[in-house]
Amino acid sequence: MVRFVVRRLFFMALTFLVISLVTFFLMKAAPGSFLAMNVGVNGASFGADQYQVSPQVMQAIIRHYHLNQPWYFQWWGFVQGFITLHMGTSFEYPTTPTMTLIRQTFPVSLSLGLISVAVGLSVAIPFGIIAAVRTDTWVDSAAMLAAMTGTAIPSYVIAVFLILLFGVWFHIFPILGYQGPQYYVLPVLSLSIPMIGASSRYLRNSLIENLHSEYVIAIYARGGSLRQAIFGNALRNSLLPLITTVGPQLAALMMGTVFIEEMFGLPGMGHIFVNAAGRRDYPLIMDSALLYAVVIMLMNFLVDIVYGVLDPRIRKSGRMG
Amino acid sequence: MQAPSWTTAEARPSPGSARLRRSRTWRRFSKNRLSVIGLAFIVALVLSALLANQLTPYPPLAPNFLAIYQPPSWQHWLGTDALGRDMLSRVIYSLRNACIVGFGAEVVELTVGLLLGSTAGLIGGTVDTILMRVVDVVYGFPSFLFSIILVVMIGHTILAILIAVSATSWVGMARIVRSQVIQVRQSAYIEHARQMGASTWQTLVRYVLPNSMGPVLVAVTFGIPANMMSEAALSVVGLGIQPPTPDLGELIIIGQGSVLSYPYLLIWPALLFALTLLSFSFVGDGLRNVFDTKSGR
Repeated sequence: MVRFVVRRLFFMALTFLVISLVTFFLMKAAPGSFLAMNVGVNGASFGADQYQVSPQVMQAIIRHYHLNQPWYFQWWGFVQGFITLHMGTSFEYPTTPTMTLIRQTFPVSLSLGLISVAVGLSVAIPFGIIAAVRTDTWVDSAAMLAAMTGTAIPSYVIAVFLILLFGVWFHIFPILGYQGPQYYVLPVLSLSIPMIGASSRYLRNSLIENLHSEYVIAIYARGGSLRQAIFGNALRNSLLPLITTVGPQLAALMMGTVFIEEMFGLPGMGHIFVNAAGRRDYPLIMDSALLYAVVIMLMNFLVDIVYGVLDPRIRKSGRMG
Repeated sequence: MQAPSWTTAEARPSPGSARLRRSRTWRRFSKNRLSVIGLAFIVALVLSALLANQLTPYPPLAPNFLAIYQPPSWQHWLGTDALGRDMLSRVIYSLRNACIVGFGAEVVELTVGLLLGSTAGLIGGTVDTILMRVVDVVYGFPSFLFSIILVVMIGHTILAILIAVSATSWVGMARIVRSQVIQVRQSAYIEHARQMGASTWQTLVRYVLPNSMGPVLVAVTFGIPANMMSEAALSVVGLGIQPPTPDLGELIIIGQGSVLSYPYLLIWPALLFALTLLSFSFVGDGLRNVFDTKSGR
C-alpha cells in the first residue's frame, strides 16, 4: 500500500510538472499578450486606462512576474507561487490576490461538483439494483434507456431541457443566478443526470454478472433468498468496481462545472478561468489550470485509496494495479 | 479484401461466403431496432451536411429585419432569431460544423491512436513503456481546460477547434489499439504468419490491424459524438467558432438568453443535437452487439 501511494504521488508530481510546462508554453505561444493589449500606440496605455492600470504598475507587474526574465525562471515562478499558495495578483484583478479570488469562487465549483456526485451515486445505486433484479422487463428497459440518454447527452444539453421543463413551463426553480439553495437544484441535476446514467448501467451489468456467479448459486442452494444474495454478497462485490469509475466521472464533472456555471450564471471558478483565457491573463490562466489539474488528480487519488482500503485483496497484499 | 474483414469472431476461414457473413453482421446489428433508426438518422445527418447549400431554404447568415422572432411557420419551419435569420438553415449549418469537427477530429485521433498504439503493442519493451507513460500523463490532463487554452492560442477557426478537440482524446484510442494488438499478436495465426516469413510490417497490416478493428470501430462510433460535445461546449463558454457562423453551442446559449419569451429558439437546436448524439450512441451499441457476443448488452 505504501509503495503504491508513493508511486502514485510521484506520478502526480510528474503530471503536475508536465501540465504546468505545457500550459506555460501554450500561453507564451498564444498571439497577443495582456500587456500588449493594454499598452497602446506611442506607449500611451489606452487599455491601461480602461482597467485603471498605470504604466508604472505595468512595469511593476512585468518585474513582479519576471516577464523580462528567461522562460524557466518565469515558469518556476508560477509553479513555486502555486505550491506555496503565494500566487500574487493577476493582471486583470491587480488589487485582489489570486488566492482571495480562488477562495471566493472555487468553493462554489467544488461544492457543485461534490453535491452532484453525491446525488448521482445515491440515485444510481438503487436504479442499478432494480434494473438488475428485473432484467429484461419494462423496468429494466426504461431504466437503461434513461441511462443511455443520460450518458449520450452532455450536461449542458440536459440543462437546456431542465431549464425548459422546470423554469419555463412549470416555474418551479430559478434558472439564473445564485441567491440560495434552490439556485443549485437545476445545475446539480444537469451535472448528475449523465453520471446517474453511466453509473446505474455499470452497476446493473456488474450486478447481473455477479448474480450469475457460483457463489450466489451456492447461497440459493443453502436456501438463501434473492434479497440475501444481493445485500449479503453480490452488491458489495459490484460496488467495489463502481468506485473505480467514480474517479474519472468526478474529473468529467469538474470540467462540466465550467460550462454549467456559464449557463446558470453561477459565480464559480470556471467562469474566472474562461474569462482569463480569453484575456490572456497569464497568471490567472496558469493558476486556475493548475488548480483544476491538482483537484482532479487528488480526487482520482483519493478514489483509488478508498478502493484499496475497501478491497480486502489489495488491503492484505498491499499491491495494486 | 472485399469481405468485411473486421468481423473478428468470424475471421477464421469459414465455409460461409462473404455475402452470408455480411448478412449475419447486419442481422446482429439490426437486432436492436434503435441501432437501425440511429444509423438512418446519421445517414440523413451526413447527407444534409453535404447538401447544406441546396437544402437550406435561406442563407444562414442573411438577416431579415422584417421577420425577427417569427414563431415556427410554413415560411420558417423552426422560426427566426433576433436578426430574422432562418433557424432551420442555421441549425443545418451548425450540424454541419459539428459533423466536420466530429468526424475530422476522429480521423486525427484514429491516425495517432493507430500509429502509437500499434507501435507500442507490436514492439513492446522499452518503447511500449515510454509510450504508455506518455499516454498516462496525457490521460491525467484536464482535457477540456487544455482544449480551451489551445483554442485561445491557435484561434477560433474550425481547424483550430478540430486540433483542440483531438489534442487529448487520441489517448483512449491508443490504449484500445495497443491492447487489441497485444491480444491479437498472441493468437496462433499470427505465429503462423511469422513462421511463414512475414515481416513485422506485413503481419501488422495484413493480419493484426484487420483483426483488431472491432473494438476500434466501436470506439470511433462513441468518439465522434464526444468530439461534437467538446466542440459545442467550447461555444457554450464563448470560445468556439466565431459568432456569425452558426454553431450548436452558440445557438443553445443564445436561445437560453431569450428562453422565457421565445423558447422555440432553444428547443430545436438542443433537441436535434440530442437526437444526433443519441443516434451515434445507438449505432455504437449495435456495433458492440456485432463484435462482442459475450456481454449481451
